[in-house]
Amino acid sequence: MALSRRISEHRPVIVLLVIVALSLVSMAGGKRAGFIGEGVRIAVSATSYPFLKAMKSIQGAAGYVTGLVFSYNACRKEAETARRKLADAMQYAVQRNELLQENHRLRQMIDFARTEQRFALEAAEVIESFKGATVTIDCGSLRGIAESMCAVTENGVVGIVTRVGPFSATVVTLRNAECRIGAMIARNRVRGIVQGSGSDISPYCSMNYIDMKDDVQPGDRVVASPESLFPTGYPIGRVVAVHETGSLWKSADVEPAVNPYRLDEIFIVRETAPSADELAGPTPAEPITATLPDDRPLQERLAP
Amino acid sequence: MRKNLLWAVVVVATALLQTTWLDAIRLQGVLPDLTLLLVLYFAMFHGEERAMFTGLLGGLYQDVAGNALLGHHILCHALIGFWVARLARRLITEHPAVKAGIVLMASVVHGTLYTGIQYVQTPDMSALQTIFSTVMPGAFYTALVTPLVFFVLSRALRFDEEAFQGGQTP
Repeated sequence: MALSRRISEHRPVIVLLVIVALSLVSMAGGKRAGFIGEGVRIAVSATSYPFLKAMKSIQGAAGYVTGLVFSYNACRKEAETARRKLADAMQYAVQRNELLQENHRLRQMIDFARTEQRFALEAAEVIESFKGATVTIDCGSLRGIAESMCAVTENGVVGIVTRVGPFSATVVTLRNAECRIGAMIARNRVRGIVQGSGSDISPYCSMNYIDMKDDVQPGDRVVASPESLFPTGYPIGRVVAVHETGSLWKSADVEPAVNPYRLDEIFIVRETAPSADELAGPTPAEPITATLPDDRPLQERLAP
Repeated sequence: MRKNLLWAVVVVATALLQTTWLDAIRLQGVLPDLTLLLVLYFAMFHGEERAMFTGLLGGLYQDVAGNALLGHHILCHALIGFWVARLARRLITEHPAVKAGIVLMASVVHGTLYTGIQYVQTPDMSALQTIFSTVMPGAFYTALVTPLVFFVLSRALRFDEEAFQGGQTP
């Protein structure tokens, strides 16, 4: 009875001693999580999980709302910076594509210049184009360009040089009505003259002065004839339609091999190697035999 | 039974707050110790037994949640709760500043005790630096929020205030 009374009187001290003793024993064991701790830890994790999730959500929402208010200027600057970078990137992409295409074209030109040994070619860049009928190139007389030189690409005939300055020259193309080129049908060598239409609407030029009896069919390849300034057999275009005019001549619509609207670089043919006919020279003519007047007397000429 | 349940809920909720949401008011790496405040509140107003059991439950929660050695927080809380309860019996004033001063002193002692035990376990730590850089600012921060926390606790527990009075044990 006295013991229980004494215990009751000193209960706080006893509780303290028990707690201290248990704590010291637990710490002396050095275990951070025993079987009790593990169970309690699981319970703590389970109970604290909703709190942690709620706190994260509230923090996120609060950060978003305060960001709307306080970070407005920063966001605007960031958006402007991003927009500027996007514009730069797009410009860069466009420039890159342009360079790729130019690279592709120049490679084709180099291949053409290497493989085509018949001509001495001068590469030129188109610096101005007037409706595709007249183009101005960036080389002139200082680089050996002269009037009536032929302008070509690796695909075919472009036109003729008409005006030459020191640093530039003008080429009339197959869109121009003033451009006339001696041509022939590659299949049967039927001759004609290809002339620019001069029209902004029609993409075709016409091949005129075809004999009405000659055979010309749509799809025939039209090439430069030996009489033209251009190298013989160089492609001009393709026949798309034949027109019977009811006269001695007929004409044909020819789709040019080169679209003058799409020209960026061209070649000027400075010199053409002589053809085999030219190298062989003219065929020897019949010996000229002059018949002198017979001045013998009539008796002598008629005598047996 | 009801008062014990309410007490347990308050202790666990405070420990939860201490280990989760309280990070939001961390200043320069220093946090107020709400569990300690709860222990001190019960020590000052409800006697040493209630304070020690609060320290036991809250400390257990903190030890588990903070992956500390089991008993580290419990020992510190129980000792501080007992000591402050004994001290509070001799108080003849209810002035909040006095309570805040007691909380400041108790926090410093608690932090020093905690650091001392930690130093015994890991002697290579810098105990003095920890006391000056963490314990002292933490104690000041805890003392600063004392009026608010005590007010909230008195409001939350006012329905059972009479039942709590008299140092009844859980």
